[in-house]
Amino acid sequence: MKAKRYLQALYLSCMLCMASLFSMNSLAQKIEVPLRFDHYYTYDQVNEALRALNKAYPKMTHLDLVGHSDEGREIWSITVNNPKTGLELSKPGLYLDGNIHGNEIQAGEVALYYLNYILTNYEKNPRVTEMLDRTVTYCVPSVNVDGRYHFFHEINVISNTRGLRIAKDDDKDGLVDEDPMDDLDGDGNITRMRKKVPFGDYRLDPNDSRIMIRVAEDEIGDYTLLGSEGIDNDNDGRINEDGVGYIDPNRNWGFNWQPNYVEGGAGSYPLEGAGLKDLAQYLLDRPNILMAWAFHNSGGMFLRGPTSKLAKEYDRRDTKVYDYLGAHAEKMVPGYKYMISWKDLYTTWGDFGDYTDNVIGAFTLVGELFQSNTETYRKETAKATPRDQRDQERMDFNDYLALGQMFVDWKPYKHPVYGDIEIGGWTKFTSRLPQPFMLMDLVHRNAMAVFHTVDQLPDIKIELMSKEEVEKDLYKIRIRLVNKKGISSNSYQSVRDKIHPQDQLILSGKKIKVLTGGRLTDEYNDLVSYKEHRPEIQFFYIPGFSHVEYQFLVKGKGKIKVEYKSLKARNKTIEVN
Amino acid sequence: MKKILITVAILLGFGQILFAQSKFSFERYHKPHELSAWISNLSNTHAEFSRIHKIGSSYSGIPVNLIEIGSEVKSHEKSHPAVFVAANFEGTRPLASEGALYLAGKILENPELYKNITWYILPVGNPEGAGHFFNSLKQDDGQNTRPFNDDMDDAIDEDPNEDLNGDGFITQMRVKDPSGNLLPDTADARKLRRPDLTKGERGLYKVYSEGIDNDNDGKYNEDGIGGTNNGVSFPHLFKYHGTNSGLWSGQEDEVYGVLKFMTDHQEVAMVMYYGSTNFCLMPPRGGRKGGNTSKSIKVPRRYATMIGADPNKSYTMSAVIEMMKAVMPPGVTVDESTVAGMLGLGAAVNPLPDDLKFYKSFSDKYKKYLKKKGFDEKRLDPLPAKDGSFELWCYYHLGLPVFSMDFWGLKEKSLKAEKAVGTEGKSDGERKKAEESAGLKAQPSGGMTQGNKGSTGGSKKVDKEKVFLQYSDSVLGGKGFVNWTAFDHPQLGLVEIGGVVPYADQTPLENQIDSLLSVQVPWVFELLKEIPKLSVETTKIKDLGENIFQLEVWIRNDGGLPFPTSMGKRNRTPVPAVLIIEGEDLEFLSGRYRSLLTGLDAGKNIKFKWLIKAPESKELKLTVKAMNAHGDVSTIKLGGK
Repeated sequence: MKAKRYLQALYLSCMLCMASLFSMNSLAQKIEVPLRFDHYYTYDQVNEALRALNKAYPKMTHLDLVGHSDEGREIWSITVNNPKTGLELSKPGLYLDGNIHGNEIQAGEVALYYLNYILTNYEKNPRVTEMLDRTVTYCVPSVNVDGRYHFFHEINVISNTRGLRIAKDDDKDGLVDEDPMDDLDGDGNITRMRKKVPFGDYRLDPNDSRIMIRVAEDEIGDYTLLGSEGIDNDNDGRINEDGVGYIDPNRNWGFNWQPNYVEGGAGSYPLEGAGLKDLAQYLLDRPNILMAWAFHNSGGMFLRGPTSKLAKEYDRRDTKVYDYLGAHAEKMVPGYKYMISWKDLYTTWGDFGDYTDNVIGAFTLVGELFQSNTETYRKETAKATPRDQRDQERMDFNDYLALGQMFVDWKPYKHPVYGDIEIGGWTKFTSRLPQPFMLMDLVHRNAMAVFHTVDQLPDIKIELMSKEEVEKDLYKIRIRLVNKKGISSNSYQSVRDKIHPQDQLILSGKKIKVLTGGRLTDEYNDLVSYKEHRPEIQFFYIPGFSHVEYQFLVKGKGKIKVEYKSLKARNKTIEVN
Repeated sequence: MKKILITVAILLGFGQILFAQSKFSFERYHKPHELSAWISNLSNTHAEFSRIHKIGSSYSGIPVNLIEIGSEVKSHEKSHPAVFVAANFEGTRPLASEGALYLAGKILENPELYKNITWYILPVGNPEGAGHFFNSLKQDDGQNTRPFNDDMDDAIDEDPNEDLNGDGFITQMRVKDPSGNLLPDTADARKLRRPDLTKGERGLYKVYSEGIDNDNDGKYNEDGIGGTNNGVSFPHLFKYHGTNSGLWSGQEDEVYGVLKFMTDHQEVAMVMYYGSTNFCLMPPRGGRKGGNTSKSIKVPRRYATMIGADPNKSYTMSAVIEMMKAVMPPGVTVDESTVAGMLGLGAAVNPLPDDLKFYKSFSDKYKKYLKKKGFDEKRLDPLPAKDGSFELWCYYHLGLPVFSMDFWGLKEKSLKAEKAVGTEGKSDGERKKAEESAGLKAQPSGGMTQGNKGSTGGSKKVDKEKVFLQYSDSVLGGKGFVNWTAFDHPQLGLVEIGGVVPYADQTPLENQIDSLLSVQVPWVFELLKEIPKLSVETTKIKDLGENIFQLEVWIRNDGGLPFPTSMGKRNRTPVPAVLIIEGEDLEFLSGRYRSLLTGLDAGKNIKFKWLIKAPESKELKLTVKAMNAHGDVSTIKLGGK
């Protein structure tokens, strides 16, 4: 029975102090910069952390109220920009958020860590300095603020604060939210119910009776699992079938939206949910966003779209960018896989990433944080533990590394419907969330994956290739635009679907007239695809690690202003004499 | 010429007649603010039975209001079913809004009409678009003022149309051009048609809309003022990246307001829409490919292994349901929605066969009704509903029976429908193929032939322009069409300007308004009778001794509509009915205090059964609670105690 008896006493005593260990008491611990990442931040603490960052870096940051949640909580964003190097909207933008699913809290910590890291390293680490001087970061660490609030302050299980706080009739019985889970034993946790039965589908692990083992096909067990702790509140013969909500905030965006009978998480209409609608507008107001990250848990994945098969695979010109970023991210966070959302995971409709990809025109990655197989208790960490030993290993991890905090032992309970049952199981701070001591590694590696993508936001150089006088006052001018970074200046998709205006190259001057102009496709053979109308303005985008060249025939003397204008990348101007 | 055109303008209702607050007459078209003022006026004079709800504001801030009429206006909770009536989301249908006002007036005249029914009437669904009709310059355009860069160049709304010949209309320009693909029709030179290349004909003209190329990009009028058209900005089959649908469905505040209102008002049992379609005559169309109404479903490999299907084979929906049921734990509902959701089939895109049955039967009744009123002159088919339209959303997503009216269509009179292709009697697929091979553009929503014999239904091509020119000549004295007249265009050189006068082909003369509405609007009062009516048909009580009773109850749907529609069963959006049994100190040995009634077809009944121990009660109260299907209350005596 291992050290069970002694441990039992230990985790009983620990149970009451669990919450405070995970979210440090805000009264006792003032939140200061540099931020600490040995605990989780409550909703209030997230806002406090943002205020602390803003207070420490008042010139580089400002806070904006994105909007309000359905329960009226404030949703805050922080903008990181060096005003000395340009206005926010003039720079390529990163949008970073977390915790759109209210229970996926460590996503918020990744965002806070990223902010803390870039701000505290500015002018210390030259790469951070360079990145911050050339880009702008918009960050909303916690999108589903109601969910985050209730995750900490309400008795619940790991997943029931995921959605929006809008009452919905989940079981279609004409009543809303009438049968949630209940903390029957009053221990502050909603865990599971099990019952000893003559014909069960489970038996208890002989080495550790806390563990349930599903019986083989030719066996008859003596236990059954009865779901999460709860009673039949509405007396309809079903237990816990209509809890809080449910609208999945990541299935209710305004692009590729489908009704609830197609997409189970959808609300009644696109962007139902006050906070979502506010955030949609917030993003529209920042058209310079070219890279978007949204963090979730769990599983260890970096997902890109498309989110459904019907949406069709992205064009090769865009997958090239994604594949480059994804391949690096995979190496930076060991065990995480770069995947295509619908193909490697499942189809979703009304996904946030659909919105940022298709309405904002941003390359979007979704980080699914944490892999439960990192909860190890074994000598050989390189090799995966066999499946049938995983439960035991996890329980050992709980006993020896979390000192029993993760699991509530089974205790008898008299249930109004099921009679004599036992209540117990894993608490909400498990399964999808790392123990606080593992948080630092998780947030740093993922924040660096974000950093790499921001570092690869387009950096465009404009140069005069040549100016040749063809005849008197008639000049042939060649301009080259170089993108030194991996992300293209617009996504190809945004060009194809006309999501926003493309980049522009504009020639102007008081005493000149542009006679012809067009894309130089072969500089040696002088092959140009001329644009018939308005040759003085050319539309295009610049792929990553690449360049484009344009040739113009200009009549007249005097200075020529050559402007590169981009919604996403920085504008550049040169003068040709 | 100009004088004549102005006369037409006045005839069509462009005249600026002052609005008299005290009386609303249907002798002319009213501006959005007049309509809005009038419903407020109505509400003020009938404060007992009506109230105004603000749905939202248009992009430029015009409030969008609806009037509620009913006996329960004072409370948010409703016990009576409601009819939601909306008009003119398209913005180009002034007659529709007049219809909504006409209806509101008729209802308030007769308390019987709102005693057991709540009405929600939204007369102007697109105030900014609707305002264009009253501009001095006429252009058939229902977009709002939200700036939108249609061509995604370096400027927004920079290349609108211009009234080059100053006649007050935006019509067309035809230009002789080597790449021209149209030539004048020999029968009527005003009309342009495609050349028959097999007969050696060649195209002569290229056609543009009237205006100049303001930004010199080689494209004419490609980026006009605005915006979104609310008529195509609802969630069903919403067109993403469209130039007039908005960035997402509900981006416009007033559309979002309608989405929210309909969600919050589950008592709505029926929708009537006044606009460009007519589901009273012609049901919503089917024939669209794909969606979860698809007949052949392929199961992706990962699910195929799970349910024991062959990923290379196609299955019917019922076959997939059966396979899935076999592997699901007992008690888990597996229906079409489950399968569609799991396999990512998307939404239903065709009307369900059971729903087409009531559409057909009501359409037959409507035709008889019109005939009785001497109103059965053959007319052109109404337009099919647009993707993203309000009426499709109500049916497909809300599962509500939705009827629509356009009130007016060009009369076929002397028209002989030209048979384009001999496709009658063929299946949908065959017909589509035949049409495609004949070079006809396949209708995105296909053809709905059921119940529309003799109508176009996709199988006949009616020359709408020809019918219109006949109408213009015979009724408008030729003034519905601007004859092609030479004009010296600054960029294109010599052009001719002409074409259909905006709105003339879809908006009847003002002197028609009253007669059109007085015949057609009251049809909704007939449809009212079809709203599902759930009532207690029979109750049977059997005394089993020891205060134990067996109770059997039959509930009947006395309406002509199913409760809910087949689509409503599919999407599970309509709120279910609930049977509640009350009495003193009851104990339910079988059955429950609250029982769900999730579906009951028209004219059918359904039995519920309880075993009750009732030591104290002499009678039971049975309530059928159905805010969207009337409902009923019944008292059941328990023996002779």
